[in-house]
Amino acid sequence: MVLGLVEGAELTFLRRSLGGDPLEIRIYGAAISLRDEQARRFRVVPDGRAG
Amino acid sequence: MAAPAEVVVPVERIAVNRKAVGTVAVVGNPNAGKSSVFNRLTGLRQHTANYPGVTVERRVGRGIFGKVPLDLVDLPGTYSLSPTSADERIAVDVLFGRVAGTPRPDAILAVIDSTRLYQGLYLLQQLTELGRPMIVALTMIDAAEREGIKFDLAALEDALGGVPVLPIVATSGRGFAALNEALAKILSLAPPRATAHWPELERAADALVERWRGGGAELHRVEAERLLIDGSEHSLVPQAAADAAVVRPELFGAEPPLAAEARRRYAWVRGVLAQVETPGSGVMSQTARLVDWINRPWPATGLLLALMFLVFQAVFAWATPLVDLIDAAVAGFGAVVAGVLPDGMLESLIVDGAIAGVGSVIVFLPQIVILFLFIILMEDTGYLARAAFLVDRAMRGVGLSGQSVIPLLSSFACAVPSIMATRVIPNRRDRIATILAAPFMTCSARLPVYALLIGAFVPAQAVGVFNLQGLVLFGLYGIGIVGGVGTALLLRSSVLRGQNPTFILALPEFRMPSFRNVATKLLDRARVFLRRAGTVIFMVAVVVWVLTYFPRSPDVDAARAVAETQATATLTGAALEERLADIGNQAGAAHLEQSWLGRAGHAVEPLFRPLGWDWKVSAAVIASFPAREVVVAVLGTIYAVGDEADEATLAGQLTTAQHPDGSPVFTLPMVFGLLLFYAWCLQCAATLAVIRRETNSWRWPVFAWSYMTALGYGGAFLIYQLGSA
Repeated sequence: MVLGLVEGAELTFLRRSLGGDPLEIRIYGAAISLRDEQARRFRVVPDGRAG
Repeated sequence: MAAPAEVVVPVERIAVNRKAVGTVAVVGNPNAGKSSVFNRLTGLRQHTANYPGVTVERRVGRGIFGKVPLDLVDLPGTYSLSPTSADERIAVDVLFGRVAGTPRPDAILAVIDSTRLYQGLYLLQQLTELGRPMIVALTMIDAAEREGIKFDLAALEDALGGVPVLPIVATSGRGFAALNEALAKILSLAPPRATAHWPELERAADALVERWRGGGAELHRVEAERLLIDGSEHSLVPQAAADAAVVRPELFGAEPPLAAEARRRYAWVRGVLAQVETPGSGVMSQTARLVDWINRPWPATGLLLALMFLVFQAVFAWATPLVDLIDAAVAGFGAVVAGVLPDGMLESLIVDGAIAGVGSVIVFLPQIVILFLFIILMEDTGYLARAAFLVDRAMRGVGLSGQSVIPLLSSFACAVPSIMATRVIPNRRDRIATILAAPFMTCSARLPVYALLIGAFVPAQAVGVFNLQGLVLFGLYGIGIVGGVGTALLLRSSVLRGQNPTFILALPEFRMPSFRNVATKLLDRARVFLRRAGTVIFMVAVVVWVLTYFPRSPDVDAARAVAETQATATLTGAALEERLADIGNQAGAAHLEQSWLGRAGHAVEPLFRPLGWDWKVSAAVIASFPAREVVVAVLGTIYAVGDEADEATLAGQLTTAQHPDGSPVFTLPMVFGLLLFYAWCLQCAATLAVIRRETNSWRWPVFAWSYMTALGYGGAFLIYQLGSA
């Protein structure tokens, strides 16, 4: 949360690691790693832009 | 010295520094380049120690800005004022002036990565509320420029409530002239204007401050706010937790307080970001595209394997000439001293005790320093987080986390630097599990033991394309891994059970490490190794010497004198030399048998008989508990071939060794049991000392030692009993 995964934040999915977990996402220029089980707790809405 | 509990003495009164006019805390996110900034501002005028009671390093340095001398405190990196690890807790406690011996900082130098301003702004807003003069150093501005990011610095200064923002590049020194100038005036800066607006929280915090003032506790509003949000225990206010618990529901409702804070602050952050930062075009440069490719799972796996190969190559091959050189120098020096001193106890103490003891410490230095160098480079380039990301899934499968991988791989060379490297693991349970798994990995000190026993007892026959001796060695590495992984799994499903609720790892961009930074860290860690492990290894060497030297029996020396006279009378030339050396070795063995160590070997022999060991092996194993590699030298002395005997000679002696009833001691089941014992036992005082230091308690080293000894004994017992049946 203190890393900024909060309501209203925009993020870009970059890739999955070896074995499909964890995920790498980019949030306002900063890459962070998120385990699958934690990623599931967030609701992400696609914004339609490719990228 | 200690003040009565109810009298609150401001820490700055006690620990004020006469020479510096003020203390500036250097605060920032992890990997923001904080230490590089700190090193450049203070140069070599700095010293490192530990904060009381924890293994967090306290780095303080003096900087002179204009004519103003200031003390800079380099705080551990943190993302917020809500600590999630021991390091972050120290950072927060220092900022609030709660750490004994460290004055509450007069001003704050915030070091923020310009390419990760999103997370930086969050911390910055919290810092502005501390009511202290503040300056922001915006680092890695060159990287931001390469990405095409532009900043409106005036707007940023304004958004932060009038805090000066200075763009810098810590590795090249760009922007430091302006930063120095700003620091000269930092103490006279006005504290930042308020930037956040959360009236409900402020009111609740003010009410608490008011109530506690009656009890004698003088708290800041921000401290009360932190109590409301984080619920941290605060010794100054005993009823704080209870009071906060009453207010919390009406303030936050069902939302976790930290989530409420993050939601509010990040809304502000997004607003500021939109105002002050123009993002890059998104078009990737050649380098960026290469980095992006290398970060993909399969190329990244290749890179990790290649790096590990390089590390092992360096630790084992490149260090060898240096190790040999040190070995030869120590032996040569010992011989010179032995030549000067008269034969006797003093000579033995200095040559076999002190010089050999110091030698056994510094002989490890080349490998350790090389290992530290690679670990530091991986940290400073940002690679560590990448490696953790890559293998997190696999490591979790064995009860560890991605961040365990580098410490565990390092412990194939030596567990000491590896255990020190576990500090990067924020989750305590993961960290302890990693620390306890590390000593199982086949370290370089096990290799002489393996080489001796395998060389003597495993036939060098081919098995397909492999060699049987090689296969056994490979199997021993495997057994070490199995032991470590099994231990981690066992611990994580018992005493260290539990999930880490928020494992979110920041993945920094790759960057060039600064030479100065790497050198400072390397010197630091080498010093810690010499001080912590070195003193232990040295003392152990002297203790082992005492145990093997005393008590001295005059009978042995008398018998030796008789034998020598006889030999001199009957032999000449080379035959005499050989005979005399032989007599010397026999006397050494006889002395050892009736020394305390020899007696201990006899005393514990019944305990080890189910493993097939006689008193000689038992004594050698006891002597090697403080440092496993000692076993080769002790076996050399016990089997009367001298402690400098080459492996082949000693191996020959071992193959013919017999129990009193005439049966061979070193049967195959006994040898495999002994090998397993060395694979699983924690026979290393330096490792125990480091576990003690890193876990800050005797509980874990005692547990690790007992557990691993039991495991080694049990394994050797089973192999011998089943194999001999």
